[in-house]
Amino acid sequence: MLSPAELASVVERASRFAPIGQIVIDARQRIVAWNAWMERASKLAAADVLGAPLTEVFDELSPRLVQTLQRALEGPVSAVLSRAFLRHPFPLWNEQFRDRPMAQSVTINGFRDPRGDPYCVISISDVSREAQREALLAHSAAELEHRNEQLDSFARAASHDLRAPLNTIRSFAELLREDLGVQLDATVEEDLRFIIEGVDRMAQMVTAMLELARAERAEASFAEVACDAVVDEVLEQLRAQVESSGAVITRDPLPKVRADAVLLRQVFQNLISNAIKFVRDETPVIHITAGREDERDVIGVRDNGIGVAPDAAERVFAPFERLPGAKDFDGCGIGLSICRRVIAQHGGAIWFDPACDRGSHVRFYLDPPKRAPSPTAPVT
Amino acid sequence: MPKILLVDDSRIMLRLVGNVVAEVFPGAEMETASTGEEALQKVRDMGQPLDLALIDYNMPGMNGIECGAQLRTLQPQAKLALCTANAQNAVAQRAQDVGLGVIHKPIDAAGLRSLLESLGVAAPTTASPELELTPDQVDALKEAFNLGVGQAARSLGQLVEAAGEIELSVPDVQLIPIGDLCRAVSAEDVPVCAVEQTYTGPFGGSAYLIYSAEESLQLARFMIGSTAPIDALSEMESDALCEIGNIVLNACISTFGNMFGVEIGTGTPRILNDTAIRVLTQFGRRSLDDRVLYLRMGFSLLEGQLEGHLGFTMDVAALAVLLRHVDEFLAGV
Repeated sequence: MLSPAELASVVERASRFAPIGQIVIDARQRIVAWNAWMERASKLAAADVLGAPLTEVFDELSPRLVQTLQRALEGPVSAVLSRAFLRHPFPLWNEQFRDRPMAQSVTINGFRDPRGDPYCVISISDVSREAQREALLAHSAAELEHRNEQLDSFARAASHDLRAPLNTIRSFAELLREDLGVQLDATVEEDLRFIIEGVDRMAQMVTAMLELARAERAEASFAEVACDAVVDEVLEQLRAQVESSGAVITRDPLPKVRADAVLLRQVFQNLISNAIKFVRDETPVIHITAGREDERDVIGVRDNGIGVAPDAAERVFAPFERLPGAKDFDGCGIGLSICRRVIAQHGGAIWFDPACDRGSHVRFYLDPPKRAPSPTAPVT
Repeated sequence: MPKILLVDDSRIMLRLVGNVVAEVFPGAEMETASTGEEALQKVRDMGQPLDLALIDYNMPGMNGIECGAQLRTLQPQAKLALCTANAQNAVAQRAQDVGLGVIHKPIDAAGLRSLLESLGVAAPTTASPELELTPDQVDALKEAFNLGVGQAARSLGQLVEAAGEIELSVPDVQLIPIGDLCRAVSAEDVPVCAVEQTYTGPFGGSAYLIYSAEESLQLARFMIGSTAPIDALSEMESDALCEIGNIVLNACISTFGNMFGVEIGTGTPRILNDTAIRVLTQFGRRSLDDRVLYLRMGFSLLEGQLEGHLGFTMDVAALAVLLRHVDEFLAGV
């Protein structure tokens, strides 16, 4: 068996390997312990500092740090100092990062010795590496933000600048038709019609591009939303289209979901509008479906339209991609891309049900993150 | 008092499991046996019905499942559970086939409580639900905490120049079940941001400063200009929130101690991002019916109002000591 003194020396030797700095101070803030880590980080030997007041050894400590130490001794309470408020509490150095003082995370614990006298232990971790990583992350985030802004303004500028010459072409094509007046022969008339239709189509695509860019940038803010109410609103918006097509629209009782109401409306609007549109020689019969699968609410829109071939079921979600048989229909193939984008923002998925043998059945579920706030919500 | 039997061939395990059982069932009558055979003998000799037995699986001689199956015939009403470190489903399945619950080692209070739940036993609460604060006690506590948060506001003012305008107030003090506090803080499944600090002295427990995710974001944004979402708070932002909570909790506890003439120490604070229920029950160790001393804290910044929640959990005995000190203070006024 070791004597108490020998045992103390074993503990002392072991503590030399501690990967953190430890300083113990007494009631008058005199240093009573200074471990090997502290010797390395401060270049001050224990023998030189033991017994000296901490504020003499480090004569530029922040008043707040000194006050925190005092409170810890009086308490006895524990405190932490984060580098958010005090970057380098102690003048310590990590040899790898010579250009600046060591980033530190400091814990202060007040305690009493067996006689009841106050002491305080200061534990210091070197967080230089974390600080460096965070700086890198912050830099990358700022860079990304900047590029996103550039892309956004590019999309806006492009769609604006492209529209102006398109308008010019269209206007002059129409002027040309007027100028030629009665002399217009059938071939020229048809050529002009192709020009004007082409221009209209391009104008539509430019608008759609802008919409997609907006959808990609939209910040979702989640709340409980009744799908029934959203569908009611959408049907009201689509009233003209529904009435002129004579579409019959029925639905299951729809669930309440956690979603961004505005974005969810966009999804229903695109899906229902597609269902009305992509029908050949028939009255559109549309059913909005809802069911529980794998503990999720899966919502869908089923129609009796032209359907989607299994090999095209993924492709149709790409921007400007249109069904092989969809050439005869209006639109520019952006609706499903917007839906997929919105659903992705909600942590969900959207797909065409392969089991559907007549028409199509597009289905989706939402699984938005649980956290409440959106990071860009204004401070109230 | 419930009658509880622990069966394990390791004396250390008996001791550890015994501590956990005593934590969940204070005052339970506990018996121990080191083999299945001894357990059966003890139950045969027992003059009263057995309420619960926790039986180790791996023992020399009869294994835990055989022992449980035989105990079942001796005491059909007893709730029986097999303790195993074995993650194999086969063992758990065989245990369930003979009507044993399963609890995985290492056993802790949270595990034991959820086992009891699965066996349909109500775990006892550790605080008496009838306890109410008198209006005088409420006044004295409110006074103490308002002094505390006043000091905290001054300390926070030193952290950042912009924080000079911080005002803190405690409009109300209540003694309520943990479950009620959880509901006051946020929806059940939404994580909160909590700073937890233990406190020790004549009475001890855990102190919490809790913000809803949104409030903590606003606080972080205000104090350090951060814009990160709650689940992406950097180490530094978490540390900053931890320090803010630490300042408020230390100030409250110190002022409290000074006013009521007791010395209360605090432990190292830590930050927790989890649901209010998991945080305040200490991840299942406490019951939702336990009482918590709850203070709603107003936090006025230049940019607007925030609401924080201060909670002090403690067991019945500690609460009684606290209230005795408050009453002594009131008698001296």
